Amino acid sequence: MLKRPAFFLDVQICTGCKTCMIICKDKNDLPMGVRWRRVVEFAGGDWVGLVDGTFNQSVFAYYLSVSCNHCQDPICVQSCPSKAMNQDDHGIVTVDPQKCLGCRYCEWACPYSAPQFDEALGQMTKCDFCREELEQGGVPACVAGCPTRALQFGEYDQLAARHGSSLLMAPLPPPVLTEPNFILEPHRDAKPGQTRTGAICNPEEVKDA
Amino acid sequence: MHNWSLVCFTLFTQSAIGLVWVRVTGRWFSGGTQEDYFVWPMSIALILTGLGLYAALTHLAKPRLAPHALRNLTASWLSREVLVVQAFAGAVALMILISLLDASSGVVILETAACLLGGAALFAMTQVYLLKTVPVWNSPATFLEFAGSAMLLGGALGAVLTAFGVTDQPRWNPAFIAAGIGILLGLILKLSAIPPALASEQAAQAQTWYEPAVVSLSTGRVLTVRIGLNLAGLIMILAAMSVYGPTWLWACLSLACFSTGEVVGRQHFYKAYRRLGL
Repeated sequence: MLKRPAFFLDVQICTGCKTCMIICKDKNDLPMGVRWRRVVEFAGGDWVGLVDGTFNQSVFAYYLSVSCNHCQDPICVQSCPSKAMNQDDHGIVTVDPQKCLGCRYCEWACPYSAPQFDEALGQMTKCDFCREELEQGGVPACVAGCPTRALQFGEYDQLAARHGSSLLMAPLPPPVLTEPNFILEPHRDAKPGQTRTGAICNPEEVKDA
Repeated sequence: MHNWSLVCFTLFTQSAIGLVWVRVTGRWFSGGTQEDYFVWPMSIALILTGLGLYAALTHLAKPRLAPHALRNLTASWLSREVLVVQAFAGAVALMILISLLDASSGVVILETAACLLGGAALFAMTQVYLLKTVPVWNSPATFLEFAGSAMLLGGALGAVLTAFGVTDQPRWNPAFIAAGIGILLGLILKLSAIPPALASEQAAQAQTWYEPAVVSLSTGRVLTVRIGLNLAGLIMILAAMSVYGPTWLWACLSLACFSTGEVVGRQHFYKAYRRLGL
């Protein structure tokens, strides 16, 4: 078992196929509206007038596959009144169904929409990094299913040493808020954190239910 | 997200806190001589707090697990809020009991404790919404709004109860004057909340990706409606202080105006939710 497991996403080669999202729903038998992993499509651009009077386009699009990032400073764990949200020694954040009141305060607080409310169960649910797979030396289902190998996982420090740890990329929140265990290889057209030059193009797919 | 339960919880509890503050102040103004009609307003405050806590229970998907809400007192403001609101209710209940038993020596201590616990509950209630990931709430406007609601609704309720409880010249009663001061303070707090509230909403628009889920009324319209209702409430309470017409009628109309404005404002507060990130 890794000491500090983290997800890694190579945004350059993620095609936005959503296999990770579907495989997660399938493996965990998630009902409609509950998405432990979501693929965000961020796009923008326009015609740009050049000095010679001609026009060029600045269209861009990239995909971000995001689940719970099992943050170092998890705001869901801090805010949960019943300690249903808890973090183990490896940093994996899980929900204890015996304690979750269904107050949805964690849902308000998490900037990654990681805690997802299950209406039928009346409680929050979330990605647990496929902990049982990790304990048996396996890999999380979303990572195993990624056809382009854009989504990977590993020891945070090793991934950070290889790819850097900057997450200042739209539409992700500032990493300083929760210190997520998530490493990105940015897209060549990646926009800075608070840019207004693009928009989330599939809000129905990724927004809270 | 169902907002009504939270609107009821926050407004009922804040009204109760304001009512306790206003009535205790009124009693101190009069030199502690009003025990004969002190129990009734305190009972109303207790009932309001109870209703608020019941509304909070209905917000939970699993109300039977509600006792677990006190498990994270070291880190969660939601846990602390639940504890302090219950302690406030306990202090008010004890105050009623002591008043009924005519043990006046203990009342002052309990009055002070209830007022302080009310302040602590208001503070905890504000902290719950000061989430660093929700810029629209993470603003001084939240505290000013909540404190303003406590003073405004507590004052208006205090005025109504005095008008009904005191038959001889209620408008010159210390409790009524304290209620009037409460209303005035509440209106000042509400007015001072407007600039930071507008600033935080603008900041949230620039930092967040999603529009609020349902926007039935724009911020400008909500503000206009609330200012109009608060002005109407102020005119009613001034009329209650005048010699024209029955005091109780004007006081009741004033409470109706302020309450409607508060419900509109609190619904807008919850609907304006927008979070940083995804």
